[in-house]
Amino acid sequence: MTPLHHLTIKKFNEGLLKKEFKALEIVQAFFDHIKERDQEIGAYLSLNEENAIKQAEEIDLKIARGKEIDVLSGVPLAIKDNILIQGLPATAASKILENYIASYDATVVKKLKAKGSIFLGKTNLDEFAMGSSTENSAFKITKNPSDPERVPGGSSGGSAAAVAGHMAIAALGSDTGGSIRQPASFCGVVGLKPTYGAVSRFGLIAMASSLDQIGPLTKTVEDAAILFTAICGKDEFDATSVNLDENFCKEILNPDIDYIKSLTIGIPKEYFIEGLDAETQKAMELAIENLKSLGLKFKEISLPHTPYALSTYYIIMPAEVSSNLARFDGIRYSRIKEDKNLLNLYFKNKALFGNETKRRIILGTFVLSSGYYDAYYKKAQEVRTLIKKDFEEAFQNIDVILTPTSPTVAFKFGEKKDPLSMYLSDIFTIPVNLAGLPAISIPVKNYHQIKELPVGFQLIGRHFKERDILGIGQFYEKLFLKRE
Amino acid sequence: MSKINDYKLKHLAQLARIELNAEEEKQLIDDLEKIINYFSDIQKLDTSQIPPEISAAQSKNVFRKDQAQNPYQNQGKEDFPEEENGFLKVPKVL
Repeated sequence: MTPLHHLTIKKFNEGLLKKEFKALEIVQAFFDHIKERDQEIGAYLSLNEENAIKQAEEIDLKIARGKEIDVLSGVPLAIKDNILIQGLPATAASKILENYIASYDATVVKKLKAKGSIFLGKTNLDEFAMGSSTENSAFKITKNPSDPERVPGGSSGGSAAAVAGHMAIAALGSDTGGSIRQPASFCGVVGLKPTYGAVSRFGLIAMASSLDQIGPLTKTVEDAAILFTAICGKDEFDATSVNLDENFCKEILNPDIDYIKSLTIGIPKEYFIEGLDAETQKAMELAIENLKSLGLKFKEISLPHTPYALSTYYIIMPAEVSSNLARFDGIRYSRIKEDKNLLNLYFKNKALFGNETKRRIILGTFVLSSGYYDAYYKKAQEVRTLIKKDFEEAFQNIDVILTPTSPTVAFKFGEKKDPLSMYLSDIFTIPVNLAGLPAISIPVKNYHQIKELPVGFQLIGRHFKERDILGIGQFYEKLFLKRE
Repeated sequence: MSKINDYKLKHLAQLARIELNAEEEKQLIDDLEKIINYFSDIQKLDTSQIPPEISAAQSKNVFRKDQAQNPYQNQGKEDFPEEENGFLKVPKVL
């Protein structure tokens, strides 16, 4: 039997077609492994065993009948618990949605169902995707498979841990300020945040609507390309989603080596500063050395408004959060008992929010409130434009930007009690969401069987140029991330 | 210079419909004070010539034909725990 940690989307599909194994065997093996490993790791909030087994049987029947299958057919996936799958819980790791069962499929789920993908279960996250360590989940913590005393990152910590712990072949997460990329870096897997508008947000429990994107967490860049092209595209239910032509996917799935070699990488001086820990420093030097050996050209660039990105983000995002979370009023999605009056019902329900969620709602309410709106929210929107312009200007001279994904390796549980110090762990990922650009975190080495803590490097591309960052990534992994 | 004081916080909590106990209030005042002080960096930037950027996406209106279409018509009902004669039951509003 193929060991589970060998399986990528590609390998799984090849194995199915060559009849080396059946989808049912693999799905059952995953559930066995989950029952064993997840006791310690805690990646999953709920499992979908019955449905998954039924779906696997259907795929096997299809193959036995000689019918054609998609590369994603039968692939066991883990889905972050803020993405809706009809009939399954969608808690957003919050007490408020403890008993909520999704009444419809997210568009990305619908697309994957049409391809025959299998959903093993819903993964843990920071409550309402607010956090960088998954410690803010109302239900449990998730441990980093590389070191169980350390966090997996957040907010898509459960998804990253599921993939890194070989409890799924791939996963979906969401990224508003780094929530796919940072856990990918901490856990030693690949994480892609698509261009804003490339993937529909319909069916994603909204956090900050101008920043959120759903994206893949996978073992390889090649898998990230496959999963991304399966979920991207215009959706009439998401007015911010964009039409992508067929060439868009073709160029991503069949990278042109000569084109990739012609790209220039920019190194922004504001990202290579004091504050990087020793492991990250060392790993980034290796990443740059490796990329140089591929023949890619490098140029030093400047993104001068980088230091203001954190403030800008922590004004805009909580403002949008305070608006989006207003819907959790104790009337819809969850009903609690309150006999006094409507106002009391609201207060009683919202008392169920966790500390970080409350903090951000109050902060958002503050920056939007009368007398403060101009000084904070309006100002932040203006600075957002400056940050976006920095990138536009830089991209006139280079094609892709290289940065560390995170200033540090995975930290220990409870290490970042002060909210501001937690926010600082996202300084390299946040500007990307403000500008709406695509970005990917790729492990510097194959950390699978070595005792080092994973470090990921981040590649940022122009709008809708996922082909550039995925192209360089696939080139890099062929040479430097060989799997047994 | 304190931007958030006890009174301000109570007001914000009221606006947000969030109930806070005394301990939570104290902690929040501390946390928010620190965070809001951090924001002083952007106050110093000159943005007089910049239009505010509302969204990362291209700003344009997205229209569709004015025809009723709702494939999700009956699914929202499951999100409501109480129903009577096909009407969704909610606490008294008026």
